[in-house]
Amino acid sequence: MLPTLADFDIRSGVFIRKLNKHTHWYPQEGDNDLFLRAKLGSEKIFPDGRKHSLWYVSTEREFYGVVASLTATATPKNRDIDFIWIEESELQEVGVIFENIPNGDCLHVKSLHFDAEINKNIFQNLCYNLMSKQREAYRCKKRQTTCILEYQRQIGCKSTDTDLESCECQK
Amino acid sequence: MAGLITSSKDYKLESAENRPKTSSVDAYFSDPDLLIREYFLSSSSKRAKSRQTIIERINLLPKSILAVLSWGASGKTHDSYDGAINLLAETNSISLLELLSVTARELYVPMIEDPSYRDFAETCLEILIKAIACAYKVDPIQRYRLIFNVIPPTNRRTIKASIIDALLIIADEIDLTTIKNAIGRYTFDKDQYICNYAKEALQELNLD
Repeated sequence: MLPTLADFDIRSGVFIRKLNKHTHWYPQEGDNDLFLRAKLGSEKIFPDGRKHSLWYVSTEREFYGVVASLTATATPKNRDIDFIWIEESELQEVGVIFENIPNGDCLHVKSLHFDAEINKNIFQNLCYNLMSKQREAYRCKKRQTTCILEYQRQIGCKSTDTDLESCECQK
Repeated sequence: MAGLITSSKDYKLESAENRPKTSSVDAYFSDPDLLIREYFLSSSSKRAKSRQTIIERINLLPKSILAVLSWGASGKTHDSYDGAINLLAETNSISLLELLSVTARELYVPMIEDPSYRDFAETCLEILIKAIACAYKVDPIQRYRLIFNVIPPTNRRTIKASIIDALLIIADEIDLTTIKNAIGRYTFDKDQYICNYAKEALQELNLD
């Protein structure tokens, strides 16, 4: 069954930041020390010295397009996708600057990709604020990813078939 | 003069397209380190196209395999973590995966004990464990055995979670009871996070 945004506690438009691993949001040494947890988490999730990908999603269709884009070059494609979501105000609160940089094959969500770049202390503050609010890391499970990719394939998403001339899910 | 070549019969200007491959170009394509560097500096779509060629060239070269793990753990290029997993997962060689596992045991496990190197070593092991699980061209039973043999029992959360995730990845390729029993061991872990992680994994398998 296709997941809804509500399954991930998403109530309005948010930025998605993919995690390489669910544990990166819950580092072992940070269990009893929020400051240390934020430091270790931000080092893993926002490594210093480069730009960080964010995807803005406000509808299920957009979320599905992002999932298809994130798995487009992976093998196998139907895998768990761990992520955190961040509200725009939470990025602005700590001064994260983000720029719209189209990315991915799905033409429906290509323009919803952003690059964020700023120093590591800012990202540490961001993680601290989110962790203070008990923000969880979420998982689009393999079973859900499989449903999403099948759905995207049915509507002709370019992320699921790079040979397509256009992306039918634009409609 | 650049581009002007001499023959015994005449002089002709050589276009870039007609220029024969020089030894330096050949050296470039046969140098695994340069290929790996080029791979991580390229876009995701270019990486996908070059993975097969690169993995064939670095097959069984311990230094190159370690270079892939280092690039993946460095986080210096976009999607380097997934890039390393996807590259290693393209192998069809159980020997390469076994070599990786032995190297990991010797190199990264001792590093985990040192807080200065722990982060790097753990990330390399995460990548390695997931790459083994995703290596779809290798027999799943052999991958299953390797996942447990990569490292000795550890108290590190991220390694245990990596093993559970790896078992979920191969769950639809081998006997489900075997996978459930393997994950079930972690439901009694002293780390509550891992207990919950394993229980969620089992729940997910029961839904399938």
